[in-house]
Amino acid sequence: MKIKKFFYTISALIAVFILAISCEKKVDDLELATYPTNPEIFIDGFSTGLYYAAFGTSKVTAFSVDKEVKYSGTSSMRFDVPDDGDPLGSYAGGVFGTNPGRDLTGYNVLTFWAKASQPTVIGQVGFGNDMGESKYQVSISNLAVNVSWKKFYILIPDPSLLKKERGLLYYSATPQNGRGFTFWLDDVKFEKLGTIAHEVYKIVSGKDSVFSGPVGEYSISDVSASYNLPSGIDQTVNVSKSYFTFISSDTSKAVINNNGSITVKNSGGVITAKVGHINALGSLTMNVTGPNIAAPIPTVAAANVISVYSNSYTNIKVDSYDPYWAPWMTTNYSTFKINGNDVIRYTNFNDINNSKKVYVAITFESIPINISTMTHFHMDVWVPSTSPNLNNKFTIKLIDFGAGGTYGGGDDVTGTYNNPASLATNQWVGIEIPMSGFTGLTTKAHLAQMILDNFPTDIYVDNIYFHN
Amino acid sequence: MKTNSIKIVSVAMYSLLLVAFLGCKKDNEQKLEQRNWQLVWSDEFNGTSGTSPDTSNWKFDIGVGPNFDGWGNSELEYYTNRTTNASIDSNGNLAITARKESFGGSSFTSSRLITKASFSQTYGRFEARIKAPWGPGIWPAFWLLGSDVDSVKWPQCGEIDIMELRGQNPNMINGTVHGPGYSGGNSITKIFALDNDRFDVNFHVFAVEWGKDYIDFFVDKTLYHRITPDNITGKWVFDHPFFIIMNVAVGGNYVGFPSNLTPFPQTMLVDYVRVYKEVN
Repeated sequence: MKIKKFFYTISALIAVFILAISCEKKVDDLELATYPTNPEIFIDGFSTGLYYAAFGTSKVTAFSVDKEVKYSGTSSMRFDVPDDGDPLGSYAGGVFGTNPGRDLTGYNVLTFWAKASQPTVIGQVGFGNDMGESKYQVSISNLAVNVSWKKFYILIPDPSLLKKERGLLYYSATPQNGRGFTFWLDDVKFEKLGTIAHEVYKIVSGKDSVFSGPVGEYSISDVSASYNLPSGIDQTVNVSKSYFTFISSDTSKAVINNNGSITVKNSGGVITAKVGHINALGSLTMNVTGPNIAAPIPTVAAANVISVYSNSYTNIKVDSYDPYWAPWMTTNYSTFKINGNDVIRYTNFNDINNSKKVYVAITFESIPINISTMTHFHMDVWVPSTSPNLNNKFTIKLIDFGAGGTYGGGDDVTGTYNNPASLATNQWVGIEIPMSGFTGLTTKAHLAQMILDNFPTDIYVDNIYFHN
Repeated sequence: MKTNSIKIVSVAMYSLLLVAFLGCKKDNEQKLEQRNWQLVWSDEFNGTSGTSPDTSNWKFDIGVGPNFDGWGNSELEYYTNRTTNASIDSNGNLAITARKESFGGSSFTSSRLITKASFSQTYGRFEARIKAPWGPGIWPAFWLLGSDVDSVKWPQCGEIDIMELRGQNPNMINGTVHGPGYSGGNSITKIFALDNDRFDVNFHVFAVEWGKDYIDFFVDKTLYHRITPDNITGKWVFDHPFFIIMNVAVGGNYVGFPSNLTPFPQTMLVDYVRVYKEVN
């Protein structure tokens, strides 16, 4: 031990000296020369430094060391999955780890033998869960185990990344059909196996996909890894995106960070990925179909405005931007930000394949508004040129619930505005309608609904307000 | 035809048992007896990518066998001569590809290439550099069959299986001979297994060196199996010309059947096939 310590000290001193004469690295990069490379987790007992931590809501007594049942040697890891309703916890789960972590760069697979008291599945088994960032997690979902021992293999996608991995093994298992069961793991260790081959990595399910949507923040999806087992069949695992190196073909159009978060600025960026030196299957071409700039900032003084949706004003209480009145409304509603400015997106508007009339409503029935003193209605709309039904000429309806302030009662009125022309595309169009344009709107003190009808299929909306 | 004479250092068995069964460590140097081999026939598969292999060397066996029984083995594939099943790849290899597709009443397709009409030879070194396919029920093979098969029938014609692999054991191959009294399940065979490696991740050279009264089986430079008339349980039928066969079978009695976990398509890559004769 003393000699080792001395070695570390000397190493550190040499390192400091090298750093002092080289301006390339910061002192923060300085770390102990090596982490333990011990591949063993549990052979016949806890390996050096190993701890167990049960997940917070699990049955914390689920794990024990079994000296009766074992694949080899003298003992195995035993897990008693509780029955439904067990007052001590509804499932079994936890982490086996070390701190400091281990250097696993010399291995390519976690292996273990497993069996259970009945043919069943274990919800998740893997490594890389350190109960913290869990940056390099890999797991098999629904691991099928039987009553006889079988060996399992969980790939390390890029071992060079695991220089100090703290999460060596984790599991999570729930009752099956309400009943618990017992399973055992034995000879749990990392190995370097040449019999694991043909690694395949995928992003977006391995497909060359096109995303069409507005500028904004997105996340790469459907990443996975598979590899061929010594038995010739493939195993697919869940993998952290951290194993992937993501690449954008043009960072002026799309930027992607190490977590797989994409910032789309303009059309045409293509996202691909690698794991180590292996190209992942699948790509994502990012096409901007919506606005790439925010709608113009309204200039009407706040005192003269009743705002439904705008970042420039205090908005009324809106009950829903997409109440989904069955069966007509199939429109999808979402919001996103352009440079911090909120925008509504409606898609599948007026689906031409739907024989029913499709429209969308914005409702504020719980607190109807009084627009008696307002002279104009305003709304900004962006229609992408890629949208179907560009020739639609929109209609806006305003529904006033009358003196009662509630739906029905014989005093509800609808004001209808039919626009004479279709909307220009690929630009913000400010729709400004005098209140007199809403034919039939004879009362205005309890306005409760607004209906947007016969727009093109894909539209973006911002700055909906009444003003005088 | 190339006739460059090369020397291949071959092997005599001093202690076959020590090295034969489960792989071979490099420090287990085999004592080698020198034989001089002269190349007499080869196909390097350096043709145009995407085209069929040279038809002056290779003919195709088509279909499910003359008796409609999966070539006597209950194989499941339909062998075709389409380039989707056999073609030259962009790296100068022959690619024989087994596919999961309905064709001619079968659920799989593949290819089986033979030199019966173009080339056969008695004795010599027959070698091919191959990267194997994988997966349960996949059965690639590089083998020799007696040219008198049509007249004397199998197994009297003799069969030398230089390499057969079961896709569920991608780290093992078998070297085997069949003849009268020792065919099918009673053939004379031996396994060669790689230690912590598989035959489908890198190319390996599979060869026999065959002379009067011996057939030596090699993987790369390792002799793992020697057959002599003393080893076999019937008549020695290996003193007449044999021709070459390469195929990827799907399913069959030897390998078992593919499952829905067998990855498809599966390709056997052949860098070259070379045949030598021994010269003094």
